[in-house]
Amino acid sequence: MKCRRCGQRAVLDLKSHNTAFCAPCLFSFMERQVARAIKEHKMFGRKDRILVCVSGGKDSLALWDILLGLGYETAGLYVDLGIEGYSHRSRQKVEAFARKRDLKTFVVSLGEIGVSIEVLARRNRRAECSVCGIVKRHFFNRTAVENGFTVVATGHNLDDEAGRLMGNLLHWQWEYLEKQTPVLPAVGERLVRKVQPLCRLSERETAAYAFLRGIDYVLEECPMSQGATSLRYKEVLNLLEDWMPGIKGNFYHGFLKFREKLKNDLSGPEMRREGEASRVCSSCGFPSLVDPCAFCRLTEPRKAVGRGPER
Amino acid sequence: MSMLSQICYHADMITVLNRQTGKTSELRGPKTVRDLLSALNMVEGAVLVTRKGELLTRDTRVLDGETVEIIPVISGG
Repeated sequence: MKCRRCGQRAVLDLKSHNTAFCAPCLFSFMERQVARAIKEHKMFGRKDRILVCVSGGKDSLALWDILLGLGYETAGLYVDLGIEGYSHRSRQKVEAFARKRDLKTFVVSLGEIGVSIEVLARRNRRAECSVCGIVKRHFFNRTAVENGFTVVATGHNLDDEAGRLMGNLLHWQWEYLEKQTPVLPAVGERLVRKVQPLCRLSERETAAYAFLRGIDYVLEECPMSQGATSLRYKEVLNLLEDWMPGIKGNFYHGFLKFREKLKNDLSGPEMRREGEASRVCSSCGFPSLVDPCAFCRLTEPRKAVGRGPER
Repeated sequence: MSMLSQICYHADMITVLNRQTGKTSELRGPKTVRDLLSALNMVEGAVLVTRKGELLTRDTRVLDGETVEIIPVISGG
């Protein structure tokens, strides 16, 4: 198979785009897709300082690499969740990536406040992935605010968002559907903008990018995510994509267009975030719709609901 | 000892190594990447396939005696 742009030997065929690329043309294609997402969704400009949240996986490291290639001012943030073995290995990948490129990286460790994801999940009787999401969102925003970053960028890709959309629709989680957008605007001074510049790219594309660019990422799955429902949704969507190339993109980007049309009828994430900004968590001082905020409720044992035995 | 050096190769079969699990399997060749994935019950969108450090497109033919690596791409929880 040959590259549709230059005629050299192709290294990746993309059925969804009915095309195939050699490595240099794939890099160029992916940079254009990220640049298009940034422009289309007004994610950020040249004057913004971007905090890239990196897990050591292919998506976030590929995102950081692409943003550097596009010339944006970035720094990395790694949240060490204290997952035995896995956190150490993924942190090493992040630090090696940053060292090689002489990049600034912030590291926040959950262990510093004396807890782990497993303990928090058990104590609050919640799934580990749910607890992990709350913890990471809190540290992303907090680190950005405390260090003068105007934007927080995560490596969520098309597969992540299409899978999330499927889950939200299957359960009609209206509140989550409202918030599902590649940009959550900044509100006030203590809630920074959150963006997903990889929203136009599949994880097969980001994996190919990382492989071809020689990015050493953590290949193993997070042990906490085994059997996670989100992985099932991705499997189903990949089967659909195999039968109907491009359906994943149609599903997610069609939703975004539909959502835009309905925006006037919805309260919208912008309004919801304004609501968050107008109230403040009495414990950590960061904006939240409820007091204490989800993070503090998780991490402060006395205020935890339905606490189970700690082992 | 590296993972690859532990594998017992069979010159008359295709050796498939899953880079994530470290597990190997063998298939009768020649096969295109598309047919190989189908035989392994894998979906193209969920993996990358490499040979000698190079990515392969779905029409690439893999011959008996060759080793390919599967890199799963689905991640997250």
